Amino acid sequence: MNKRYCVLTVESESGNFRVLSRFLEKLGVEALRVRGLDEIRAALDSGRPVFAAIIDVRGQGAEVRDYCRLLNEKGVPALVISPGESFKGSRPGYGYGAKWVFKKPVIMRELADCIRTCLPHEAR
Amino acid sequence: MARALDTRKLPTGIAGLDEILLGGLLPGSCCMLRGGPGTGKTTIGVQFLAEGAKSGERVLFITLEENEAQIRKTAENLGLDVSGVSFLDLSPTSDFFTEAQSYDIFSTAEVEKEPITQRIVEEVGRVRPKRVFVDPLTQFRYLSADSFQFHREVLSFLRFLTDSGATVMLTSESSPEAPDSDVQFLVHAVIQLESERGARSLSVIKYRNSDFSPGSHAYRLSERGAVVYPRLDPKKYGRPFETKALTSGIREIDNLLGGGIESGTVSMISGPPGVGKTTLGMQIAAAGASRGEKAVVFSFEEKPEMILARCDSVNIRARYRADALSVHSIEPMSYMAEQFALLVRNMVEKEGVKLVMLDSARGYGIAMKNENPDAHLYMLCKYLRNMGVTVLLTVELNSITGNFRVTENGISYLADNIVFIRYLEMQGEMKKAIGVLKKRRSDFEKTLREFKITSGGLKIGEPLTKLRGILRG
Repeated sequence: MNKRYCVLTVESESGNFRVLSRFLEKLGVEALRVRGLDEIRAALDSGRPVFAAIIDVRGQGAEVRDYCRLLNEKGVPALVISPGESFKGSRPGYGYGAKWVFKKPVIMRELADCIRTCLPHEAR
Repeated sequence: MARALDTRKLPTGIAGLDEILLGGLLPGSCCMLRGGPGTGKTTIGVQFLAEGAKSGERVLFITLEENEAQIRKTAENLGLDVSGVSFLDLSPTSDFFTEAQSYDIFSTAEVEKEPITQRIVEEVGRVRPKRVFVDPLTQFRYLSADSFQFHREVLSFLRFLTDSGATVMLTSESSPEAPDSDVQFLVHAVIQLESERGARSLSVIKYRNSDFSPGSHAYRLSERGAVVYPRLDPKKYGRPFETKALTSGIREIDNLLGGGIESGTVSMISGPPGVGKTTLGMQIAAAGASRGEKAVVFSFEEKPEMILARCDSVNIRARYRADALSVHSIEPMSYMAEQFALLVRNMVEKEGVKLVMLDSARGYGIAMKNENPDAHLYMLCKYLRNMGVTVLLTVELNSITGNFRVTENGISYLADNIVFIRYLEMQGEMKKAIGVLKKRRSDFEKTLREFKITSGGLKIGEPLTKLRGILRG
């Protein structure tokens, strides 16, 4: 794959970003680390070919809806990664607006499959 | 004598452990060290590698816990040369914490397994080690999705190492939450290390394709590394010796004993405190030493100088042949029985000691850290008997007078000969009497005689034939 393909990693802490970017690199995709709505907006408006956004939810994650809304407006699929146990049943509509919601720890193969579907055909 | 060691095996670098393993580890085998924290697993592993490096072998330490610098420092403190040891340090660096390198997005198994595997493959390919130490193997459990995969991956990993020509030693940290019974099936040998109340013991649980010394063996972690003391197995030892009566230097005592005590027998000298048991033992030991028969006295209660000074005061020439008679003081809780047995063995097998006096049986029990000292005392006496060494064992009774007993703790089964000394009251005067209760190899005098300790030496009176009820005090 070609490295010109770019995926946003939203709100990833440094440890997660490290393993996520290494994982994406193997898919031939560049990871672009952003925080908050402004940085997401700036990245989407930068002209770089962003094909998906991985939102790493921490704490209550109340802002995730806003991220998803913005990404949907720009036509970029959002992949929400939830912290697992703390989410269980407590926020049924949380994933609203996201194309996929994963529970941690994410199985690499499953995430890779989803990301590939977001990429243009020639990049899969 | 001890069983022959298998010279095909790789010595572990720990003499006592090699004796238990009958030479060491079989080439191409995997040996697991099991034990809790602080039991010395890493120390033994470092010694295993240092031994190989010393012989010019290529050796590799794969560490997943302590870092290389820490291990090198520990080895240096132990005086072990690890300059020839290659390290593959897979332990986390400090930036894992300081730079928040922890992650939760993927499982550890998915993230770490591949790079770790790759590094191991590369390092083994580069070093081509003859010995590998993996510390601890159980860390690999966190790299496997489930126990089935762990089982297969460990098996595959060990095969990879042994197929590449290595003999492998690895450690396991077992806990109730993560038992390692599955790994025990995958290795050729399992050594269990335990530490309880200051007493350390190891036992070989299995050793595929090889014999080994079963049971529990003592070890300690010294400033020079792990030192293993194999359990004394008397039946492994023996040598031809001439049975002869050893005289005490006092004719009346020899008469009581039917000519003396025979070499290769265990003689118990029993009596209440202060009656003269040690003095009688010293008399017999000094008499042997004067004939050039090497004797050693282990005193568990008194300092050697006190004993020797008392001998001086009663004309026992214990210092006369200092080259043939030595007195050693053993402090309470200072030895493991196997360690003490090795000390005695060295004196017997290397220095030619022919008489060993243990003063006293109770003191021996207090000096040993083991739980069942009587069993170890029995083994030691049996070993000495097999080696033709004469044993004098003093046994202290609590009561000054009263009904006659030989021991307080029922160890009279140890003795071939039993000599007793006791107090008795004669015409309002406190006196002492000596007699022989048992002698396995010859007849003996059945009468009691008066026993005196004087500045001129031990004095034995005529048989006390007219007295009745002496044994009742």
